[in-house]
Amino acid sequence: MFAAALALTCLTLWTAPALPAVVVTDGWTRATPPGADNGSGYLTIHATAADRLIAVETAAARRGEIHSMSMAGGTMTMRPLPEGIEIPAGKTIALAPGGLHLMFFGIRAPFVAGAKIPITLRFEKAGPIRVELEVRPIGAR
Amino acid sequence: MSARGIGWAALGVAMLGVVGWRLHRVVNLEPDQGAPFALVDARSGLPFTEATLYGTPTALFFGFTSCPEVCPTTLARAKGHLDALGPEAPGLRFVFVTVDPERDTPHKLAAYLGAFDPRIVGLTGSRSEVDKAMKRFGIFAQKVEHGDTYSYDHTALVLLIDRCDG
Repeated sequence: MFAAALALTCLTLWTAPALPAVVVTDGWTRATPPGADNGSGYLTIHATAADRLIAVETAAARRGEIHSMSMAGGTMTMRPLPEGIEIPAGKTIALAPGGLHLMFFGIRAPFVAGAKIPITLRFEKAGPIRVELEVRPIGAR
Repeated sequence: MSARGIGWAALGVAMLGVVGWRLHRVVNLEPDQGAPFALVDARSGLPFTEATLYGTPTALFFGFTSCPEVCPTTLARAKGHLDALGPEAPGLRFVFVTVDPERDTPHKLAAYLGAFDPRIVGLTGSRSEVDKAMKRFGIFAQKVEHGDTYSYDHTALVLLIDRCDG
């Protein structure tokens, strides 16, 4: 009986799928007004093993990039991060308004509140991870 | 501070309390700071000059419609503030001036702003007139190329301007 239980336990452990090393949650973007060419995206990344977000792709826009934004002396500055974003092991990195974010150039249709925008994040080690960005109302932050 | 149009000062602490802009700058224009500008109201097509500012307290913001974050969030806040003012909203004019007149045609600008609040006035014009207005109000904007497109780094403060009728 004990041996059977032990065997079952071992089997369970052995067949349990490995936890993903990178978990992406809370993806969102904001609805775009008519005429807007670009959109942005926000999400939270947690990695159990060190990794790096290196690219973002979506069919909803001509091009996706990883950007930083900062405010200094009242001036907003936005720059692409060609090296991507380092995700240290055990750390949670937030892409949020006012800082790191995804940038979508040339959106193919306006982002409508309530819709979901599918995107693919590419990580150096974890590879591609598909997530959906929930479209929140215009001006959400 | 004596001449009309000079010494545009704060709308006052009371108004700041109502409006509650996190980022704002009190404008105190000197008469020799930049040349007069002549912009166009995107919705009506009517001219908009410095003299048009006289008479109504104005919150002034410079941005562009392709701006992904600071412009839409500021405009959404502007709508919230106008809504909060209720029946007194006509006492505050919110004006959005594009720093990107090459892409922001009057039609595009009017459609964009209408999605936030039709009470928000949009101004555009020739590159040279927009540059004059930026200089007049001490606004910085610099084009940044992104491959086949571009964005602007720009001053993202809301300027508060009084009635200028002193």
